[in-house]
Amino acid sequence: MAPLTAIQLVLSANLVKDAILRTVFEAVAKSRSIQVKDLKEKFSTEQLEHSIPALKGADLIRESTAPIQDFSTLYVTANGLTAESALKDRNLMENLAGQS
Amino acid sequence: MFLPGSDGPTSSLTPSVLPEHLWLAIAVAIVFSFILAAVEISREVQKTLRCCLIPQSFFYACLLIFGNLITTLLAAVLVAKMNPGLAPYYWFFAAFFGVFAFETVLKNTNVTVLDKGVLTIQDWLKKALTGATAAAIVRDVRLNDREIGKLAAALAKVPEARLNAFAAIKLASGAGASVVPQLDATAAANKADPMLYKAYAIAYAVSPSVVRAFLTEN
Repeated sequence: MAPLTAIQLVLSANLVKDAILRTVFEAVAKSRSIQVKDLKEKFSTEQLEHSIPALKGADLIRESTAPIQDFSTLYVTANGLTAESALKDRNLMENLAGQS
Repeated sequence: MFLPGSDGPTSSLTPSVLPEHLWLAIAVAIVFSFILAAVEISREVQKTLRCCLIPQSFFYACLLIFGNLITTLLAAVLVAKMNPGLAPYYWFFAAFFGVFAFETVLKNTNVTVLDKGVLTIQDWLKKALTGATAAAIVRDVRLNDREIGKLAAALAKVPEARLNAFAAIKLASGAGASVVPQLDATAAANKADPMLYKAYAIAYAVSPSVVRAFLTEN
């Protein structure tokens, strides 16, 4: 099976429709890697329980587990980097459209 | 490519100057390419350079070198037409124009089959850069986890009173004196060993050199 394009990745992972998913993904992608503990400070447990498995399922992020879950690290994958770039392009296009 | 005051191409000069210094132009182009690759990857990874030393970075650098060498060889033909007074430096100009012309060439080159765009060189480089960045992030996470894990394991063996005092001093910002009870409560809420939880909290938040100094004292 051919690898998904950036747009396919973004759409298949629901990053456009699901704002929470997108915000959590952007938090991980922006810092490249982040501790679960730091994410818990920014998002509610429900939001993380909803978004982390979905993002992992879409292979946009992965987890490096530590003995204590709070100190596990979530990091962005190659697919995640591609999706992040597509999201940035999309945001740029929306901003440009808004200005014109 | 003529500089002001140039008399134009001198065919007698061209073959005698450039070929013997061509290897220098190639060497400079390779060095430029490695520097560009290191800058680009570390900018994308946003971490220290140590995690960028991986085979995937080398593949990306090889792709850059390949493109830069071709444009350097092309530039070498053009710089031989510059002012003869600059002849001793032709090799440097060839490398300089070659490496920076590659950016322009990149934006205008397509690999096509039956008039259909297959893959642009820019796409190849982007994919190689993404692969190198992702691999460097994984390496950074593993290196950090290993280091933090070792420090946390050592900290967890320190007597609790000393560890609490160290945590209270080093993690106090924002939480004030209540940092230790807060960590204990969070550990309990997560059903985690409170000593190990505090050890991890310290290992992540405090500089490794400070933690090592504390460990040697205890």
